[in-house]
Amino acid sequence: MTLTAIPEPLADASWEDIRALFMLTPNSIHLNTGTIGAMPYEVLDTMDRVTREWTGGLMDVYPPGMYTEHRANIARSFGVDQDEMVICHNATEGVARIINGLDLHEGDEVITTSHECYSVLSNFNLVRNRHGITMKVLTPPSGYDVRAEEIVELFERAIGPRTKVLAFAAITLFTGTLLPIRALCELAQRHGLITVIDGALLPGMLDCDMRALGADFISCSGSKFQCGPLGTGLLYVRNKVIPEYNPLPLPTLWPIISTWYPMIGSPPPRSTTEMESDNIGDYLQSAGSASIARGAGLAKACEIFDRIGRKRIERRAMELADHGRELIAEHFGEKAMYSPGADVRLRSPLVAFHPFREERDAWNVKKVHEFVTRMEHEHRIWIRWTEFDVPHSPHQYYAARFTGHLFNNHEEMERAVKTMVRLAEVMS
Amino acid sequence: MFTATAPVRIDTTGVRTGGTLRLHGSGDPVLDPACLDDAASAQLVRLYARQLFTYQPDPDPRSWQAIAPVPDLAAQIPSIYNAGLGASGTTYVVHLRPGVRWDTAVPRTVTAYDVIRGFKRLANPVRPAPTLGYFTSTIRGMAQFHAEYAAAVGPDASAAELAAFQNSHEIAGIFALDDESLVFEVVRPILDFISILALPPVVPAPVEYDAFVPGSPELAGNLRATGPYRLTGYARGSALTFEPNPVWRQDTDPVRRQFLDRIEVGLGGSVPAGVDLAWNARVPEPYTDPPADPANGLGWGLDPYLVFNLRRPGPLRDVAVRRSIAAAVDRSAVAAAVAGLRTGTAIRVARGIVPPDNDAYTGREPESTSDGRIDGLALTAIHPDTPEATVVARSYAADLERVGATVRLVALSPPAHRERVADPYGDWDLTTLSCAPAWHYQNGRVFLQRLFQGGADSTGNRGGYHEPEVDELIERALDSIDPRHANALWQQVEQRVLADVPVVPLLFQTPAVRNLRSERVRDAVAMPSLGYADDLCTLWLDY
Repeated sequence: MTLTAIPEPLADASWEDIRALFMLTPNSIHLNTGTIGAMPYEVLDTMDRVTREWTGGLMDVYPPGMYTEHRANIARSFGVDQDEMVICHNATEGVARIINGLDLHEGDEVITTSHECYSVLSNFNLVRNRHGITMKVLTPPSGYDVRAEEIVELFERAIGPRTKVLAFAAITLFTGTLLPIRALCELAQRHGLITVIDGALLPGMLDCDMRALGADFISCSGSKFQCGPLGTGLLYVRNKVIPEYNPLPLPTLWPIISTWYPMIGSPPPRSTTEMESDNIGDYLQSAGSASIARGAGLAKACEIFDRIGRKRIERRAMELADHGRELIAEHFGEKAMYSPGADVRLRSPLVAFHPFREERDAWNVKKVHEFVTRMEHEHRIWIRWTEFDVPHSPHQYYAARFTGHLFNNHEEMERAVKTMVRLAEVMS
Repeated sequence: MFTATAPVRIDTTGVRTGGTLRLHGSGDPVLDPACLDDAASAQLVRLYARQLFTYQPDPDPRSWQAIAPVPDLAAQIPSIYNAGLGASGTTYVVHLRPGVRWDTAVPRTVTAYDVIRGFKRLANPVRPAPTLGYFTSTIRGMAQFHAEYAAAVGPDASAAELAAFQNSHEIAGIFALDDESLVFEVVRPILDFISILALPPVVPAPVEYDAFVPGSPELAGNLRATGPYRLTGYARGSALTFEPNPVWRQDTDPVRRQFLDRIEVGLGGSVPAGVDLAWNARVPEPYTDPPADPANGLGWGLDPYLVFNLRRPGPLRDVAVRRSIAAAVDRSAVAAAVAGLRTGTAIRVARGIVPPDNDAYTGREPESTSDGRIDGLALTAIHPDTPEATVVARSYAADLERVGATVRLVALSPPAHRERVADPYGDWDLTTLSCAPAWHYQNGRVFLQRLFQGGADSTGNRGGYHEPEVDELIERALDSIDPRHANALWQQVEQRVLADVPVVPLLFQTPAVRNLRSERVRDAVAMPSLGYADDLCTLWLDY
């Protein structure tokens, strides 16, 4: 099935018309964009077309695998340049290439959180085992009343003389907390630290100027909020020094997995100015043959989001999630929320909460898993469960998490919450 | 002495079922899993008591699968990938395999609550598990549970008193989600928790065990089975008989089989004709040259080491005296005496506490500064009446007498010896013990924590050594999840302990010659987790 009539301009299209752009499973509610988004039909058409164009042909497949034009277009959408943007396979690959490419040595310390994606923690552990770095893993606060200052102070208190890196998620996947990214990057800059951001949920959710965030590295998924094909990701690598955003020298990065890293000698010294000395993105992008179709699909997804308007999408997703958040708070109470609510700076379109009456059920993975499974099997409502640490608690907490995105609507959110209330009542 | 049974029966794969497997050895085994402390007993307990996690027999000891825990009662190894292990590494969720039942009068499903009861029994104050320290230093609330348990009922409690405490108190870090699943919370992220859960004492306990004191003869007569065999006869000091457990189902057990009609273990006396395997003794195939290092990468054992009883007042509390004794013992002579028994092991004189191929091995020990004289010192040295322990005792006793001591050697049966050294008020000054690696991977703690950590729950620390500085180093080593850092700390522990001489390491040994088996024994696999004893659950008889 393909969509033939796309309402243009999308910037003025109704949300109902925009919803029709996406390949949504009929008679179901997709509230799990935090795991996987829904692709627009146009993206599928693009992938199909490009696949056919390049299958069995005799054309040189390597130049398009550098995605030069796609990277330039996508970079523009996020306020950066082509040399700073890489299309990779997913956020995990991107962050792994950064973490393993950092110039870290024995005794260097990395500060991160227990709420990071496994890919972040496992790759830093790999570097710990390989190079003898140390890790300080913080457990951030969770709950409706958490404030941004608490989080910044938590990181600040942890910084020591051997600290080299701050690594954190832009939006945590477990509690849906939008961390104070700019404030944390400024903190890092004050201490001369490298910032590595897991931005898996960032593109497609926030209208985001990556340079202005002030980070060194941001690794993103292309298939979550950005709604591109599975197996796509974006990687931002700061490649010029613009003091307004980040005055620190560019950190050393060894671009592991690279075809075009020099076979003898080294690349030029890294820039100390607003002009790049070399295209770090090309080193990272060149990795043998590439899926030209998937890159094109991701570029198309980004283009569609640009046409709709990224600020408009951000407001829509936030507003839908806020609606769900209010309904959850109304039915379950603010105390049931693991996602921040009182401090609007920390809100994201992901809402995690405890659905049951008994507190101890928050430690019961089976019960929370059953809740999510029954939502899917009995009601065709896709949410997910998450697990995370809570400061000073010996227990592993489990939560139900739902997500709002541009293709959802208020009616879906209300129906989902109503169903969750009913199911939680039955299961409590 | 052995019973005749129906002839073996062959199946389409060539494996034969049936027959009576005959073992013979000396000493009585520990039959209550919670009290297990020796590989020979664990070899028998494995027949009837399934664990949360265990090891599978692998014919190639160099294979990692020979030393990797596998799910037994548990449905799978908890990991990040199956939501069984939280990212912080302090919460494990274990789901039980469905369909495993007790051989009770009316067969009953093994539940998560049975597993929890099993853990509570480990901490009982009457006969606490010799490996208790691993658990109390790891599982949240278990040390407190043990302390409160001991304070509430004391070491002479009745079964009813024990049950009353257990059934009204919980270990904070172990709780059931329902009949099939339970959660373990550990006090810090550690890398060896599954290895700890794969220790032989970690088995569920049915409610019927509430009627018995742990480790008591009464319990031995009322064991309940989850494994493929069950104990059907036990005459203390004479014989044990195991027969198939009719409730056991192969489809619930990925590790064990049920090939045999009967297993008989003769105890004591001369070795009768028709024995298939030795039990509780190393009997190797014939060999000529001294056994070489098998070079399989598996940890050697500290076997044996001399322990000073520091619980008793007297001259042994003086480190200078202990140093003199350590200096006087001719470890090469001990090695020669043991080699003369031809038990098929590779032997090295021990330098240090941690044996080769274990984490934190250094092979170093501080230089001795003793003048070697201990004139007038009178010592009571107890030892098991096994051939090896006897020659070792005679060897070091002769050394000590040469430097002026008087040594009274007391030979005890292995169970009596176990009882005596476990008794805090036991009448002895010296004894020899051995310690094999309880697991073989990331095992920095298996020698140094177990043998030297102080405190009420350090039940493997038989001499009562207690040094706060060592305890603090041990805690720091346990806190480290970076193996390099942890190993460096364990090495510090070792050097610090050696300076205090609470023990004298004598030999490092590892089996290097195959176990002797009768011609009809097939597919017998020596398991590192059983001290290289054969797995009785998977072998079969050819005729």
